[in-house]
Amino acid sequence: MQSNRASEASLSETNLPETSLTGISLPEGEPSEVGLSEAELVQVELAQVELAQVELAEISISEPERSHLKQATPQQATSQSSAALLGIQSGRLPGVQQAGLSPALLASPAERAAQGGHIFFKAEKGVLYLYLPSNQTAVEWSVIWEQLQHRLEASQRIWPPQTPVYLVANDRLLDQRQLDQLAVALSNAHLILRRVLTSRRQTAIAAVTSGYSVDQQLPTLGLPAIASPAASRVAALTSPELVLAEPLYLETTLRSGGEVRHPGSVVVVGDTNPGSAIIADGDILVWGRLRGVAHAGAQGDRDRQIMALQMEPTQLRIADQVARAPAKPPNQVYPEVAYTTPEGIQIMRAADFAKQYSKQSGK
Amino acid sequence: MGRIIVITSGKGGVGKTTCTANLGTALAKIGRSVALMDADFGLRNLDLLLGLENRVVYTALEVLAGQCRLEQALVRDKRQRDLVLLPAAQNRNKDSVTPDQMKQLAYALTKKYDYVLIDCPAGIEMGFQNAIAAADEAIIVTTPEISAVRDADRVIGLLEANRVKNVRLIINRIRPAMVQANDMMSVSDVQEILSVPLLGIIPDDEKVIVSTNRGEPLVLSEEASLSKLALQNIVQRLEGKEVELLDLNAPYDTLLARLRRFFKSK
Repeated sequence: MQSNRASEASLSETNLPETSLTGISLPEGEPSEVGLSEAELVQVELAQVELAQVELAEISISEPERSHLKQATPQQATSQSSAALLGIQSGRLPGVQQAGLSPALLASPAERAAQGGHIFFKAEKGVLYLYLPSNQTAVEWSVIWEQLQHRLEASQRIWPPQTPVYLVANDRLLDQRQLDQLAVALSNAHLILRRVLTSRRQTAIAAVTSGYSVDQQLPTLGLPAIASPAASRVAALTSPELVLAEPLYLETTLRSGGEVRHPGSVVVVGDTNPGSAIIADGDILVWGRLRGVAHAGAQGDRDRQIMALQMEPTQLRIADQVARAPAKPPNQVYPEVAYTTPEGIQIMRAADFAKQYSKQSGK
Repeated sequence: MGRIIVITSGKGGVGKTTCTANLGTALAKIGRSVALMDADFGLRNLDLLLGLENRVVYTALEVLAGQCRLEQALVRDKRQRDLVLLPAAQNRNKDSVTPDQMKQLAYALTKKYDYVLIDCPAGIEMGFQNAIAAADEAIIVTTPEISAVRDADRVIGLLEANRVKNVRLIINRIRPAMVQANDMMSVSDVQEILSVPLLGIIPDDEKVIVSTNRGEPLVLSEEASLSKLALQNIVQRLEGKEVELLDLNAPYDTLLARLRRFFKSK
């Protein structure tokens, strides 16, 4: 028990940087520039294209493939030809660390989701596990319920009808009304709530009263199919890789205020509107318009990419790098890929990126 | 059983209440029985727009408290006998009712009326939750402004989460001349972001302000106007009829363009 508590404490401690990140990602909050002091803006690329005399704010995007930009100012056009890849105006996100450094990263995807305050689904052996955010995150029930509705709606086609659901409530306190709400939401999506796993006595009683099987877990221990934090840390020592969850596949329009967080890659079939946010530990692929905020490699993995059929983001973030979109949208649209370079985030036409990428891996 | 439709927008001042008053009146005019519910507790003004302020005796709160019967609280419109208003309380706030109580009131009204239109307050807090609780359909009112469209987008997301599936859009206060000059978002710009079916477009019209101040919905005025026609078309579409969208650009055609068309048609 003692060691468990200690590990829990270290988990929440190392999560602190992540909370400061959440502050930035709030769509209605302070403009994200707050997070980026002017000094932190990457200046390297400016020197590279000899645009030093132009004001930083006016450079906005500079990416050779976007032809309208070349037309914008002849000065830029000439200097751009020398630089093959130019970043959007980039900056650094404080608080995101390089992968593999923080013990929090070595927690399992479900644990990261629970600590990050969002729901998480995991399918295993014909059973769907639904993890609820930990009580320590102080996420309100109404928020969880809204998340759940959107997720069920967007994932309807994936899970076969009548799939049993095991609710992993952990230390979250649920009353009977909430359990019933949950069961109704699940049954609307043709899923059946079967079992409740909880470490709280009240939740267990409520679940029994509603007629579900109950597993009472020890606090922090006993997530099914997931090793305890201590064990996963040991595993992580041998392989310091970030464990990603299965990719999340969503068929939906992500509207303003909608936020998807996932400890793996995210695929959205549909548009993401301004005011929405996708925060993924893996890659982000939007089969539609990307107009909100997208943060790939949110745990610090710079090798992650953001792909979209139509790239018009409010802001792109990969690991600790930030880039904001051009003030003027491009008049031509084609699928594009955003990736990181030492100079900042770059965008490239998807067709060209495929070539470039295969060249790099050939090296 | 009547239809329960909530009229909402997220942002304030885009014309929710004006639309509710006019759509309700227009529906009553074509012979439907309509109950309007003001869900804007604490800041009610649907009664003002209908010119019924001085007839309000009881409000929804008194009905819920059992101090009067539902029929007693309903205010019958002086011009349209098929139109009634269930006023909100002015002296309370949004937390004085619960979603379940709103459902109870709305369901009671559906037994007698073909349409129950709920005028939603601005914002997405308790008042909004109350207003949408009972609704099967929603009409989103927005103006061609980026802030209104953003809020509308958020509200559509919330409606989806609350399983209100039938959501349609009214774009209000369009100024065709500005759209033509590329100074205002066009209908298609708005639709591209919101991607919900369009129920109607209403041009900006000073007559609306006049009718509001007079407490007489625009659709009742004798004078023909484009905005009145737009509202009547919306009612037709609510009734399930196919009506073409108004061509707001028509008056802004240049003389040259008209002449050209004129000669082409000959």
